Amino acid sequence: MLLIPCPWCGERDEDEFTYGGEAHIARPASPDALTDAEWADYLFMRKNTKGLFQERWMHAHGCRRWFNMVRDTVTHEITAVYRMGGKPPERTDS
Amino acid sequence: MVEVLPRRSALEGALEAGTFGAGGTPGLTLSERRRLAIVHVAGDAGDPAFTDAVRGRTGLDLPIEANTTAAGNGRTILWLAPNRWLVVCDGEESAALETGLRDALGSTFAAVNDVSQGRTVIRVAGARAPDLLAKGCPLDLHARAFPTGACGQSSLAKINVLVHSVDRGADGGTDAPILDVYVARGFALSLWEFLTDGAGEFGYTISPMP
Ligand SMILES: [Zn+2]
Repeated sequence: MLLIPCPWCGERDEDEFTYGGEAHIARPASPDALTDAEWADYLFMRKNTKGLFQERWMHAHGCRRWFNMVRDTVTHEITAVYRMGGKPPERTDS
Repeated sequence: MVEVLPRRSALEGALEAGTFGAGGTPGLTLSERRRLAIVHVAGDAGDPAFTDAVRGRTGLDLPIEANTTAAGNGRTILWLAPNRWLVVCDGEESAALETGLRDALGSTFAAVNDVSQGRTVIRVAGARAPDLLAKGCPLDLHARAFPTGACGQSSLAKINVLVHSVDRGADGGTDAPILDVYVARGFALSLWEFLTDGAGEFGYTISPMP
């Protein structure tokens, strides 16, 4: 069980959160102009990082805010939490 | 002519006053806080027009800090999210509170909704109250982490709840600690059964419906 630091509520039990997958995937500006392969790449293709991974979480049973988190997929160590629209901290690979 | 349905408690028929569970001095008391006016307010905490309007109608400063409340004048404002609050009032018509807030806000960017009928508020009071909630809630309910005036949304027995730390007994209150649990009306009976089941080992008293 993880203890996740919500940027607003502080440390809360993992059970209170839902997972939102990889962070910082920008929606293409003109989906009409894309090939099927490019659109599929945006929709489905995700990194399978071993190590520090930038991902989205939502405090579903709490303040219901989305936020970004950097978590080590091997050790589960949480190294950073930052708000939506925020820049990821330096020195994280993902 | 619209027929207004009388307000009925979600616990009617289930809440039976008396003393139950383990013998000896009951460890806690369960009761329902009825006829509360509960109004949901959303707005920009950084907009003085918004905060001033809420202060003007309620006499309270919006709690800006996460998981805190403001209380006074028979009213309580509970923090839900960076831009959302519950205004709770005992002894005021919810429609009047809703209309009053809406009038005070005028054209300010905000939303006001009366949710009184959609919430059930269960008061858990007494020495073992935190132990009972801790059986199904991951919040740190220790008085150090959850002092008087704190609030927190979490889950209790897998049900979404808002817990308000009304009184932790720092001032020597006799019923302390007092914890109010806000739950969506449709889950109230399920939560009530969890609470009465879990309270058995402590012994508990159920106060009659007011
Ligand atoms: Zn939160």
